[in-house]
Amino acid sequence: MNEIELLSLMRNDVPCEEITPQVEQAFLEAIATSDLSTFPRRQRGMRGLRGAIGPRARWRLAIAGGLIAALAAGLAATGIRVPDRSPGSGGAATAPSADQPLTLTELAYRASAAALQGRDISPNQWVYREIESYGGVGLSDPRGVRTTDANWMTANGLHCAMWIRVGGRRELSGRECGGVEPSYAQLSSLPSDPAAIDRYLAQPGPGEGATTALRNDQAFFRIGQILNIYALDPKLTATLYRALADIPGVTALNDARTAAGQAGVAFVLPAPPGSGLPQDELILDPASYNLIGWTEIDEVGDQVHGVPAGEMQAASVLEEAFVSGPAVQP
Amino acid sequence: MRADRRPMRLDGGDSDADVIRRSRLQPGDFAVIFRRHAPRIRRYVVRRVGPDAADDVMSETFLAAFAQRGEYQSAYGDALPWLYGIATNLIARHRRAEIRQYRALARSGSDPVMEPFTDAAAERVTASGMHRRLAAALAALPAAHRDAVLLVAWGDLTYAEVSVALGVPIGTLRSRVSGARDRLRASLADGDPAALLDDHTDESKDGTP
Repeated sequence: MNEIELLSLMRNDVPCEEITPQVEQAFLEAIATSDLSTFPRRQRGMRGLRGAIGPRARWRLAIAGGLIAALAAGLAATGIRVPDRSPGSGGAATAPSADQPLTLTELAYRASAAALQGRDISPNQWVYREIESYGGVGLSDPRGVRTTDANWMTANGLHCAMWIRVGGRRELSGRECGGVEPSYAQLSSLPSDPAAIDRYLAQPGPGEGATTALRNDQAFFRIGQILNIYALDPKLTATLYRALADIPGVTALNDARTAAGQAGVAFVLPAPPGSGLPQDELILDPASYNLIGWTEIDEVGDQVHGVPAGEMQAASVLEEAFVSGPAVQP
Repeated sequence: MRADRRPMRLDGGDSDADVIRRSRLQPGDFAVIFRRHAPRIRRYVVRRVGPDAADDVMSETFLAAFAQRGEYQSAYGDALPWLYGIATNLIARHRRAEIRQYRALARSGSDPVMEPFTDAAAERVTASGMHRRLAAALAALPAAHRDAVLLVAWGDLTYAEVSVALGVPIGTLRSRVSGARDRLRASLADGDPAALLDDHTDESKDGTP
């Protein structure tokens, strides 16, 4: 039996239950409204009810909203905030040096200050990104895997495009895409205070516990996702960097490095011992303070059960720029 | 495994492409697509992210598919790969929860995804050592590689179908699955080489000799 066949047996007891007439009717009613874009997006606290299709089913069309398919999985989690490319933006701050390392407060201040130098961005502004993803045990793992993807996405994360090959012919695949929670539209209702943002984003997802470590991890991860996916207005970006620094346990790392080898400074959330959580690093360019990478490292691992110490997943932005539309190279 | 993986067409026998084309004028016809494929899509999503998130992902998958039906390429008669692709993209939003569940399984042997499917708390699912190692390896894979190999193993798609589902060239897809298989094989071999004595090279999914 090979590894695919062994894998196919894993969780094979999950049932494949038929659709009930009630569930199908609910679907019909939903599509009958036709205007899916007006559906509200999912809301916190309305998720997490268990149930399979059948008597226990909950068809959540009312809260599912018009969420649309996202980009390829790795991409959706690794897009990077686009800096302002206009002259004089970003890089005005002074890079940290070995004898003058940044404190966490200084890092948050500089990242916020740099963000505030950006310009307002239209939600429909197209952004080109080239992202390298990496998975392995440390950066020199001979079995480590690197993947590079290029794509276009609007600032609000709603529209995506990428080249695909169909029948030997290259075609630009455009589609609507979903993002992360909160949605771009919901960002405007985020609290304005960094600590309040942390509390809001720290709420656990469905089926997840609510330990302090997990809440901190959740807040850090979600802020990272927002910064990664969307091209935000300068003020919100600045506030989010301050919110990162307010999360308990976060530290500054002055000699960070993306998996692609770019030097940077990072917000780091170490994993509490025994939490089973990875250490998270959000890496910024040391001169411009633009976001250039994200790394998750399981420092401890679990040798008994096959999770090696140092196992990591990372994304590095190789190139990004505003462009006039999909398929337009910077 | 391939022979019986498609549901019987008890709803008229039109191809998915025909139904989707018709649904552009008669939206209600899209319910046929839902009826045909929702069970398999939901099962796949449950295996990846657990039942808590599965209902959301499944409903969003079909809403998205309905919204995009005008762009469906009729050259693909079977809509299942397309739907798997949408579902997989939506699963990306639950990536961290998915990985956490793999790690929980790897560490404790107790699979949080399977707990709702046991009859009593006393019968908590205890996974084999093999599954614990596979879970650990899945957690360590790059997301794109995990998507590719799980669409093959749990979606029961061919490489060509996964290529359609993920919108990547077949060569890229092969590379991703190959990389994932290497990692999975290594994780298994590290613990129990005898488990892989039979055969390491199953190309039946690839359709190539």
